[in-house]
Amino acid sequence: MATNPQVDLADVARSICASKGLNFTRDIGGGGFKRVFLVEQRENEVYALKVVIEASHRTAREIAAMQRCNHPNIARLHRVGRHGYQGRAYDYMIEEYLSGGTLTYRLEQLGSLNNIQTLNLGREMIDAIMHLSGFGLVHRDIKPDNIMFRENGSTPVLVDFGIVRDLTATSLTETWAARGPGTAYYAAPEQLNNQKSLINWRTDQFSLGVVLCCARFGAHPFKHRSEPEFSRAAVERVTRHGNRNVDILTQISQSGLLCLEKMTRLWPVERYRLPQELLRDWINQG
Amino acid sequence: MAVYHQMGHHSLNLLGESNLALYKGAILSPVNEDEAHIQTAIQNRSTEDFEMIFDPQLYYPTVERGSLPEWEYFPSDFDTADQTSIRWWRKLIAELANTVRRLRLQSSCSPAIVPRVYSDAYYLLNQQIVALFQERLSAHEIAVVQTLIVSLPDLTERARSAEIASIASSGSTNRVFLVLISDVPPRHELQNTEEIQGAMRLIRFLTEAGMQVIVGYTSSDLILWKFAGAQDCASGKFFNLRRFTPSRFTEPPEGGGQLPYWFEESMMAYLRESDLARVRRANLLSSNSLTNPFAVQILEQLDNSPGTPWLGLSWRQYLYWFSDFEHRYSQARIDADMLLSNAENVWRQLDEQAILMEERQNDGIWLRQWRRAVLEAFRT
Repeated sequence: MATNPQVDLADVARSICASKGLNFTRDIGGGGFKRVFLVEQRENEVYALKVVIEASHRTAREIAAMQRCNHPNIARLHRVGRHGYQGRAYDYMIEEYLSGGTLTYRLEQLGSLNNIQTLNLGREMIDAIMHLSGFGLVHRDIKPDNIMFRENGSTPVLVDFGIVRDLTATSLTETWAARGPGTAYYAAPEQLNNQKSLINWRTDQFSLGVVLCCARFGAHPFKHRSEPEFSRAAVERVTRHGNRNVDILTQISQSGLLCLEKMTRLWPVERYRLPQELLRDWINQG
Repeated sequence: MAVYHQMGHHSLNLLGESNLALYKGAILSPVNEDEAHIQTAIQNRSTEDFEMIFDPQLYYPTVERGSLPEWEYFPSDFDTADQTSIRWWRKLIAELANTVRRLRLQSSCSPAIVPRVYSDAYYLLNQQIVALFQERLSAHEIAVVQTLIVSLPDLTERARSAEIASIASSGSTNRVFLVLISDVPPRHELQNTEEIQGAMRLIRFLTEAGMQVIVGYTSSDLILWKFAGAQDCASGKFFNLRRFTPSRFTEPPEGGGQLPYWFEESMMAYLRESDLARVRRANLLSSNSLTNPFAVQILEQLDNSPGTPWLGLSWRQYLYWFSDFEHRYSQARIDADMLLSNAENVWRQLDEQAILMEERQNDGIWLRQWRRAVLEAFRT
């Protein structure tokens, strides 16, 4: 479906709400593929309504993936549908609303996480990845923006399955593409080099390792000391199989979070082979 | 840490040899025996301590099939089927699983063919085949060993070992039966250091990922694979003569396939009878050779009954050395570089004494390449 620039997606959301007995509250953001709105069913029962800007195979994969999952650390999908508005059909998803904010926001507030917080966050995210891997799913976009917290502030939830890879289905990325989908700064080398055959749960393991290094030590493991945050050089180093920052490796060693060293190795075969091995070692460290 | 018999033609009788007791098991070949013979061998020899692993041997079935077509799992449409289709493999896997169950085996290698191109797509299909085979056998307590066929020339590209290992380690099987394909002619040693190093890195990647690697069809090159971290190696009576290559199935035009050879650890080389006499006269046989019970018999026979055939003894002399060497290596009694360096010295001494081997290619020159592989494979 082509985007209609004339249509305000908030109006589409209001129309969906009217037809489903929901109260439209406000626009809470979005990306290139979706716009997200806060809606209420009853008082204190709030949801995120995602209106798809342009439906694609990826949207279908996202919905199918979320419908298969049932895990406390993975966003719950309540309903999906298609809604007609001004002669066009719009796909939408109604997900649980996570009011605890993103990990990005939390890191802006706190600066960094301590060991206990990192251990807890890591354990729950590894459990989520393990759940996905059981269905042959790879999230491919684990980053601080895509880790949100429930209202209690302590339960992290993995969100945005927009580029999820279903290993049991045909890949949607062309082999000739120089780079596979994903946020470059947190992506594994096999994503950055579009080595599709190497993509599996270990790809998520790498991204989670980078996220946890950033959260605990304030830096990407491949970013060198003098370089700015979100440095392009760190991504280039990952892409070209360069060296990690020795300072970060020392910090990993001193903190006792030794799993991070293995999680952020460049070749998938060098990382934890099975999710349960990673979970076991993660729990036993620190 | 052990060795397996790699079963070849008329090899089943070797399984009961008391002097070959260090063998942990056997890799059974359907090319050389029909189901009834294999069944008998399993009944006679299979124990908890001796593992029988079935190898479906679909590597080169267009070249030489032997008894393969008599086996129920061998598909009648093998020549015409689309072997890249997982649907075709499903049927074969189902039949193969029935065969393995009927044989009451402890373990089976997954079926695999030798491709024209060793692409990622080929290795991904291999993973699907392994997973399906595992699914079929998991309820029957039969372990699946992933067959991994790798072309040695591909491994000269530095990243390839890591890429193949990454795909091969993506499933849940813990054991790998590694088959290294090379077009080095039979009776010639591997000499391309980059290829050897690539194979060593592949083995190291897999073992460090927690997988147990059995390197199949090995010979004196086991020293390289053990150094790299291989858990087990397999060899058979014919592999003291012929390496596993596409040309392996073609009898050498010059004949000579049935000549007896003596394996000499001090030179890491195979010696024909006349060469053995030369090296013996120069007092360069290793103490390990002189205590090998089959070697003792060979020397006695050569001294007391010259001209008596010793082919059967030569197989056993080699197979004993193979298991004894692995055993000593696993006990950390062998330093790979030192052993290869000493072997180079023995060749140098022979050269200085103008003692040349009867076989032209038997000059020990590969030892330098092997030493380089050992010294450099894991250097960062």
